[in-house]
Amino acid sequence: MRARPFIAVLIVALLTAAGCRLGDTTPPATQGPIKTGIGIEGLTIKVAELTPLTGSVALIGKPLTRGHEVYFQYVNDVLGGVGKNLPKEQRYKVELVTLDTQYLPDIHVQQYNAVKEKVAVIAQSLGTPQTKAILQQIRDDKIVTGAASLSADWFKEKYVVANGAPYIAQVANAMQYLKDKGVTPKLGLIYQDDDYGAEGVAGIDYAAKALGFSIVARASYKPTDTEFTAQVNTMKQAGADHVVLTTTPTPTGRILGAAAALQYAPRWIGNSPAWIGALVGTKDKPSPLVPYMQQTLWVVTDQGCGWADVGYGCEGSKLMQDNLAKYAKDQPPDYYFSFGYVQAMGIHAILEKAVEMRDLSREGIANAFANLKSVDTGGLRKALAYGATCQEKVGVTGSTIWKIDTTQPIALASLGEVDSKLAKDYKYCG
Amino acid sequence: MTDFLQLAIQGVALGAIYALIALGFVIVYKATQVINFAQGELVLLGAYLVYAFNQTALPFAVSVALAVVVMAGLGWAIERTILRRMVGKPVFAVVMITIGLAIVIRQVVAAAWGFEDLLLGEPWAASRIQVGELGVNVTSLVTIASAGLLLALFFVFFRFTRAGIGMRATAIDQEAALAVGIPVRGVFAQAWMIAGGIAAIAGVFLVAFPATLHPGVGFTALRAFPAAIVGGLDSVGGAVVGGILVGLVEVLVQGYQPQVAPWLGNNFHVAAAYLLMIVVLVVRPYGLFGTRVVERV
Amino acid sequence: MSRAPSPLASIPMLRRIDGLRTTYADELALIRGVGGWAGLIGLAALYVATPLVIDDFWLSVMSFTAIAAIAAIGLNLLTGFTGQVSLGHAFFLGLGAYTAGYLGGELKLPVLVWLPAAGVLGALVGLLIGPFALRLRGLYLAIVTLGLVFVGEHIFLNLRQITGGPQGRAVPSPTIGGLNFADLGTSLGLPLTREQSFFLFVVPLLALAALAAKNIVRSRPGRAFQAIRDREIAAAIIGVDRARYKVAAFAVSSFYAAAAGALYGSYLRHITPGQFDLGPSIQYVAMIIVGGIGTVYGSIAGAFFLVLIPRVVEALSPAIPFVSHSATGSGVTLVVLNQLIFGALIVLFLVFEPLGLSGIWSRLRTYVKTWPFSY
Repeated sequence: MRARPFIAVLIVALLTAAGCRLGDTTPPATQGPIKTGIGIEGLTIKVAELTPLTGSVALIGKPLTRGHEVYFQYVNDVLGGVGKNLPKEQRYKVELVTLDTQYLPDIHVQQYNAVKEKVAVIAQSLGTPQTKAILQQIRDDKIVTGAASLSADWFKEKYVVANGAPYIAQVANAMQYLKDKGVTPKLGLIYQDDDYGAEGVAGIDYAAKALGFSIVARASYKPTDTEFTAQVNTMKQAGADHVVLTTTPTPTGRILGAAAALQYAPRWIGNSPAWIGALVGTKDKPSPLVPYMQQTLWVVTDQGCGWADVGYGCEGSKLMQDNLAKYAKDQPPDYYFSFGYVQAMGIHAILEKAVEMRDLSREGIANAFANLKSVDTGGLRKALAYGATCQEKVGVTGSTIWKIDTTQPIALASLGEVDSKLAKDYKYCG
Repeated sequence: MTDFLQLAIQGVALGAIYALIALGFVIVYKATQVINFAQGELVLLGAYLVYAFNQTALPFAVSVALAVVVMAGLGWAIERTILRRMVGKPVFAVVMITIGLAIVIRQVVAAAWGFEDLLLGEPWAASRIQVGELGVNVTSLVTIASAGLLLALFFVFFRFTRAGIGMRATAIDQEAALAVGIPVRGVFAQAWMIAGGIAAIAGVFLVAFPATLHPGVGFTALRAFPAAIVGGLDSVGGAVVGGILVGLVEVLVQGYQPQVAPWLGNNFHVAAAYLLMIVVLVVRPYGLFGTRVVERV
Repeated sequence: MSRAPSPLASIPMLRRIDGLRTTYADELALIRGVGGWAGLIGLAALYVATPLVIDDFWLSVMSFTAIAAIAAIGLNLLTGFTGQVSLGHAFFLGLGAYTAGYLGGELKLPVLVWLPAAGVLGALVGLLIGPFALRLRGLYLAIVTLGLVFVGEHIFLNLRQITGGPQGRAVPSPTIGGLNFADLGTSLGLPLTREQSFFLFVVPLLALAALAAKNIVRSRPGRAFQAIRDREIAAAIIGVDRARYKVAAFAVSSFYAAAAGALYGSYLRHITPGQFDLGPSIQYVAMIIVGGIGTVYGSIAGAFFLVLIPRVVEALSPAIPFVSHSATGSGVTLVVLNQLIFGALIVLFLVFEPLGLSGIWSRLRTYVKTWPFSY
């Protein structure tokens, strides 16, 4: 394994003067026994995954959880466990406890109750309304929780670990990208009528105002809708030439289909959840929309090299693909796999920090999270920014913009990266 | 005006899908006085069967025909093994059984095919026809044509065939039908067979491009429910008129309400179909074309 | 309603233990004989013992059961006793949950205000819907209430100032002043977890709801409900005011549902419109079918059974070969299996045991009572 020396050090420990300035954080102990707590059984750290394995969002939950599985298997097998400075036989193995939430808030609460006394952290809590349903309990139970959703609200939470730039930043970066290219778009927006869609609305309102773009049309839909001609027609009649899609994959496909039927071909700009590789179909049965998508659709994701081929890519991507080949041969490349893989890196870094600070109790882990500044993902994601305050957590707000290219692993080819001041300046901390 | 015509075409196309699903509701209700809440799931299963047969390199038309036959067989089996035991039991109990069946079928589909979005693979796929400013998917045209054709077939069936007339007689009075020698049980089985077969056809159009096939389609099919009620649960023509009416209302409300009456809230079109249904029921409790029932003690 | 006295009734001892019914007063009594009292004391002991014995997870399941049971009792009053089929029960739960969220969260009112207020608002809206029940019978009423679910969801999604729109809204814990019933541990300085507190809070409310329902069905309105259910026009002819009692049944049932919804929201602490759609409505109907149509205790049994079964299957699932537990595993997920069981249970109960669990129970009881003279 050539990759090992490069990635052996995953954490950038930035505990110098900055760490001591924070009043409420205890300075790390480097000596003495490691304090343990709930979910630490001998040399095993138990970690919960609250994710939908059933229902339409299983499409996202499954590959995302596979990302966690593969990464933690790599931690256990190759790194020997959590605690890189400990002798190999004293390192902690990570064990995942996966619970199916069906993407339903009430089931999410039940599963949280089922698992909270058994685990040290929740590595994944998928969905914004779902995570909000357990938010008060997360605060009460002081359990560090990785949110698998990009709501801007997570920055304000002491115990919630965000996993990248929020949807608002994605939209703002895309708008800046247009501005930089000298385009003055007539903007449209089609959004899902929920909290996720609301962030798309906030993003486009903010960016359009700042850059002087006009929004000529907006339309919403319900997740169960099947017919999108009306929304597409609204865009077409208003003359929108750039339309942001704050949508999920199935509606994206239908919207593009309706647009193709109406001979309407604006530039479509999708937030990351709008896309899934399956939209291009399979090799034997490609979607009839592939030419249209290649011509019209851009997708905005977190800034990083993602799945791109190694020529363009980065060490982190290469290691991820090696690990995938090693531990999960049957898993096809998927955006959500890498999303989960990066999230697992963040959780791992927090646990690593907690071991370094010699406290694996709930408080100790939360303290480690507050003291961790950033996580190096080997370029897979630009970096993950953490810290004790909302402002520190906002940190990284860059995006990568992709076009559709079926020759690439997840049918996405990079157009470029944008890390705009516009996205950074949004008042996430309200 | 183009705007309106474009939406109207789309509304009629959507309505034709609803009509095809509603026909399934009507057939079963007409013969057995049972609202079949599993119709949406029969549509779902039918669509998956077409997909599965088509995957084995069978021509698309053959796949559809096979799915129709299998679904008709399933309809027959459901009537034979479960619903026949319920003859004479309260209607409510029978309806709840169909809800239970719906849940079972949905899970069987999820277990067999998972939750991935699948492409049905119909031969006309993304092709469309353009007339001046107006564009329409070939899928939509085929749907409208199929709904029309099936309506004509049903008309002939109920008017001129022994089985059809027997079904009508059974619907009016089961005992009297039995007395004049109509095999009422056979009629029930036939109705379920037809409902199963037509579900496969409706399924094809519900998930044809640009839509995709996934287990959530069964819920979408429930949107056809107001169509069946608005038209009148025991009227074949009513199902078609109701379907097109509901399709038009949905698409037009979707197109105009955000500008005309934004205070009604986002996505009013979904509620609009059900509101239309409630209003129709209050004004005409048996639907626009339904038969009024005389109450007896 | 009264049966011929059993031959065993002549043995005074047995009569006192079993509570065999020999007079009309016996028929109407809530608690019969020594056995009845023993059972009651046993239940009270169980109430105190349960939170001490079982862990937080199962307590959480029990609290959900208790809340669901309150809603199911309400539906049984309407569907089981009055014969009015409603597929819109979840709408009223949502109404109660949002009322609790708004009154408790925005206006900071205590549980003593928001819980009854949720119920009353539910009843008022029930009064508005009730008249539909007069015009429409049987299935058509089920259909209108089905429509109500969709219209209601639209309102929950769009009345953003109150409901928080698609994001949903927070619902406060049940508190009076400094006393938080969902966290008695902190408020009273007792060693109680949140789950233990909530269990202790919600179970007496269920008992109250069951008692009230029992009293409704064994008094005049209850008899009127049942007369309408059994033969509506005949009931009208013998002088039952159909309009009044149908609407009343709707209002009472909605009161129960909305109060249960308020508790549900308060327990979850965060609610979204999607939680009050057709799925839960069907689940409540299934509860009364499985438990027993037209019985109060059946509603509780049904709720218990349907909330518990998925958890039991989950506990047993490691031994079931075709169930997958992670994102990797092939095979069906637990949810698929559980839903399959749920659907199959509805069908099987209706086909083979239309009286539900309470039917099985009363057969069992009769068998034991008359043993060894089974007939």
